[in-house]
Amino acid sequence: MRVTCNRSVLHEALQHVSRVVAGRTTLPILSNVLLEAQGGKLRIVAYDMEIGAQSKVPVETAEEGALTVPARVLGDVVASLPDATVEMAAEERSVLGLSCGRSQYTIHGLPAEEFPALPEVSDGSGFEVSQGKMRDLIRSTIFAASGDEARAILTGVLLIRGEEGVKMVATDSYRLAVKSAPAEEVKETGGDAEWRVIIPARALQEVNRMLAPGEERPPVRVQASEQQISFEVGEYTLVSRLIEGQFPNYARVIPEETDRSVEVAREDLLAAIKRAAIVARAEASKLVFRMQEGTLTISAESGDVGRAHEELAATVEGENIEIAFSAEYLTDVLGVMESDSVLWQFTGPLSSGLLKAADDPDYLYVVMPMQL
Amino acid sequence: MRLGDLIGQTRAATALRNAITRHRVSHAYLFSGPHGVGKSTAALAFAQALNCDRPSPDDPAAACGQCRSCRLISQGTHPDVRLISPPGKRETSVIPIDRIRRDLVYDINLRPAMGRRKVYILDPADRTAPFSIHTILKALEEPPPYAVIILVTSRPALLPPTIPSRCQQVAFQLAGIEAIVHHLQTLGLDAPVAAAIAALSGGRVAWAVGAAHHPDVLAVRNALLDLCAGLHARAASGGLRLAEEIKLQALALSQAQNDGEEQTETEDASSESGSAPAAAGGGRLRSDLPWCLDVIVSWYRDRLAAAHGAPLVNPDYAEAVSRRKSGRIAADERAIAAILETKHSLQRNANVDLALESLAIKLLAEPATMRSSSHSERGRAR
Ligand SMILES: [Zn+2]
Repeated sequence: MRVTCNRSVLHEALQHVSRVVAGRTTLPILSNVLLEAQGGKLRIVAYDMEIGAQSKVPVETAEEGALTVPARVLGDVVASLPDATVEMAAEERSVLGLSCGRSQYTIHGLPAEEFPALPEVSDGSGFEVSQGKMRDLIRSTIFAASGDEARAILTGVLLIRGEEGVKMVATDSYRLAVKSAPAEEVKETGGDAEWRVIIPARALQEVNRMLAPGEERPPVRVQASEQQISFEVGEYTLVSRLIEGQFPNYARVIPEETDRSVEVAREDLLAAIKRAAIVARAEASKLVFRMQEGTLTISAESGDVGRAHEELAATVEGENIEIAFSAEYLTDVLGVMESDSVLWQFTGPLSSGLLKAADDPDYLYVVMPMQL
Repeated sequence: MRLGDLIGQTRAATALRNAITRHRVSHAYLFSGPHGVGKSTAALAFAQALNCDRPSPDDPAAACGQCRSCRLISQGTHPDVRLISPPGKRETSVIPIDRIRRDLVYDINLRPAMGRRKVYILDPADRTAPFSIHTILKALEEPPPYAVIILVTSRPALLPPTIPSRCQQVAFQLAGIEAIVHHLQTLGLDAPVAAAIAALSGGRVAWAVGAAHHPDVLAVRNALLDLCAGLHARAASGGLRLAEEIKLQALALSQAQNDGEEQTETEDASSESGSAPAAAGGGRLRSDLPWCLDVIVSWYRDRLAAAHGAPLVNPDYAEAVSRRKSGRIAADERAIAAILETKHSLQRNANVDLALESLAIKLLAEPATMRSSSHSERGRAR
């Protein structure tokens, strides 16, 4: 292998890819990135056996070939080089020579044949959405996924492809987030019209990092098979395994008829919750919400710390209600929503509350109340 | 390595092959049997047979060994085959519970990336962190349809009974010496050397193959036998020097095995070389010495065997063995007893240097009794 390329392009690609490099591996080769020169492209691949990332960088290829080198070492060297042309050449099967201006490095790696091949998602079903829409889908749901690896299914995000578009769903069994992209924003690219998969939240976090909103940016191409799913944005691809099992029947959790509701300014609500939560830290962040005649009050109390009382102007409909929630389960969702006001609906103090952005029919959030 | 190529494990191999050909693969297996007989090799061979892309048309249980899946499994980078072992080489290190949670309990829920089956090999399963049994049981409870968990152990008694009861048990045994000789010959060893290594292996194929791959191991064995052959010419006062020389060979053996560790694909081929389990924290020397002592025992056994016209453990030393006059049967038996006693005391954590020196003095004393009857010896004593 012998290629020359632009330092900053190489640096960006390495940064993208090497986040996936296994920090938790027992196989040394998995802390390496694969460099493979073919035609006018250098393929850079990282794979930790669960998630794989690949980036293609335009290069001038003098000699095709491949090898692997430690991602950290290569990444750090390239990051600190001046912006100039970088030449990389395999000196042996597993030694990379790198030169840039008057800097010269040799980096010891491992032969390419030892690197596990990134699984390809072939004959799968797929669709395309804009980067902005994919970002919305991920950001609106991912925080509700569980961090408890003992319940693997809940650590994933359910992706549903159907006639009505695309939906992402996440729940940790205390709360549920559902975000949809309507059919007109989704472009069919073949395969089945209806399917669902459970994607590890970690993979979606990485997908989210490679997205940027903007009209002129290329769309995200999603491709799923029985085994895995891939997200392709321009020259960047992320492949993830899928979680096996039955996702909980989430629709059952969404309250169908609510007789009480409150509409309140989102940013004011978020700020008040964050303040009151300071007092409630020792009490599992328990906040008590009272809705009555045009006001929403939030109170918190902790024997050792003290008391908090917040009042917000609100449009209240239906009977008065007093209900308690954990602040932790409200701050994420209010931070992710973008609307000016939110609509919060209830059936009673012991049943879950349904939270919606006032101007976004495609997002809903359900949260379980705490004991008063 | 194909299941059918396992040395001296016909029953275990047949059971595993039948599971595949009859579509009755179980979700959990317990591979048990003596150390070094090929349990780990069998686990990988089973994983290959389960995932091979191009199995033999007339034998669906025979992995091709060539396809991408087979190659990734043998180099340890197949995304669907997880080998979960203690970190490092210390006998005392255990598989951390975090590793079991992540690489078994969580990972088992991820669908296979390329293979048909996901295979988890816990090796050795008796060396897991305290309190991890519940975690393992959780994985054994309701594994997804594609998962196969293989627990490998040479000490099944250390596992709580709840574990074997949930596994299909596959028993491995010490291989017959002839089977090992045959296998070593197919690896290109000369018949006398193959026979010697096979005899010293005590039926542990992994050890025999390891020794065959590392000429240094054979060199140590030769050096020890040469040492024995030259004992009669040494002065009875040379005990300290002899002890040092035996120890040096044991150290050379540790060194040879360390160097070769990466290339050995068979089960723990070298970490526990001989008969005795290494004492905790005793280091490499303590686990390699017993094997060196076995070599020395084999020398004396051969002398007894030669006296009775029985086959030798070290046929390549036949000439040196029979060069000595017979009629010293009692002395040879005393030497064997002394060596076995030393091995035993090392197992009980005796001081290595002291134990070796006292043995060396006894070994040198035996030829000395012969010499004491000669005139020259008597003359010098005066
Ligand atoms: Zn194969």
